[in-house]
Amino acid sequence: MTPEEKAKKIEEIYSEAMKKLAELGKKREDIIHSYVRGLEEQKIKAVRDSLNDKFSK
Amino acid sequence: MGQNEEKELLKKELGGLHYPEAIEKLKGDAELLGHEDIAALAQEKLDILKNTAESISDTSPEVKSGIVSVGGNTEAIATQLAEVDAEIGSVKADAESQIKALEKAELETSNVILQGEVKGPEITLENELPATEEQRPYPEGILRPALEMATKSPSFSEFKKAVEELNSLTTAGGESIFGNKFDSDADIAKESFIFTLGQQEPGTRKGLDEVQNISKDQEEELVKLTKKSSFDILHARRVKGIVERFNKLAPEIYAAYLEANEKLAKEVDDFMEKKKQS
Repeated sequence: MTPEEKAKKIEEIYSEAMKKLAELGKKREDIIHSYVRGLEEQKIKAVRDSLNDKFSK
Repeated sequence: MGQNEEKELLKKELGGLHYPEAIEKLKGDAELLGHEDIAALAQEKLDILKNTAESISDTSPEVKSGIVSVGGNTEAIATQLAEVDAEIGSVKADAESQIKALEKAELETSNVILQGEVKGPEITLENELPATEEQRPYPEGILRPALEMATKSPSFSEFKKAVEELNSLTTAGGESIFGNKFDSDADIAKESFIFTLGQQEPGTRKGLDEVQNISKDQEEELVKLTKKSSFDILHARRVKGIVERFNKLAPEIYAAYLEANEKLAKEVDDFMEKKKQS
């Protein structure tokens, strides 16, 4: 394997790893967003429930 | 005057003639080629991977405070992120070990010819060099044995003499101007790489041509200059003569090396092929 081939191989390993890291970074963001969205929905539901309670009385 | 100052002065005085620089450049080029380039590239990529993995798996203070502001718990989210964080660590570690293995193979095989050409069996991550002679002939690589074979070339003794002469040039302080250390004839044969491949590099070629075209006037100018320094005019003429000899001899030794390298590489290939078949 020539140094050029070796350099190419290093670039390939690097690019592949960066691609996977970008995907995992996106996955991580999605988990956080989903968690926050869940909390917000709970809050909205709580407000809605409390309003429903008020109007139903 | 210290030896270093003496060398610096000498370099300045001979600046117009370029030949010590030309030789230094040849040595420098040789040192820069090969595994150092690969090591630098590998290190650069490892650093970026490490920084990227760290920044991805880090939950910023802003995000944490956003989570808390909607009634969330940073520990709860950390638990949910643990799996993906482990995957990030694993991707980073895998890439690191693959890149390091490539870099290590570069250092250990020593099958590298300067300026990038490699002869010999291909090394892959899955097929790293076996460590013993039973597993593979020349387990330490074929560079050294091929260099030793090149020392049997008919021109080698003349080449060796030129290398030793070049290396024996000293300042008045007795310090070698070129300072190469040779432990064996194989080390001397390796110098042929520098002088053969260096000749193909335009900048070095120009320097070598200038050395060979020192005119009488320039020599006389040099005599005047050398009266101020400890450098002997004879050195200038000797370097000129040595470079002329290198231009002729180095390609012959290098060709002998390439031939030996090819022969040994084939021997290794045949051995590995037979082993695979059995």
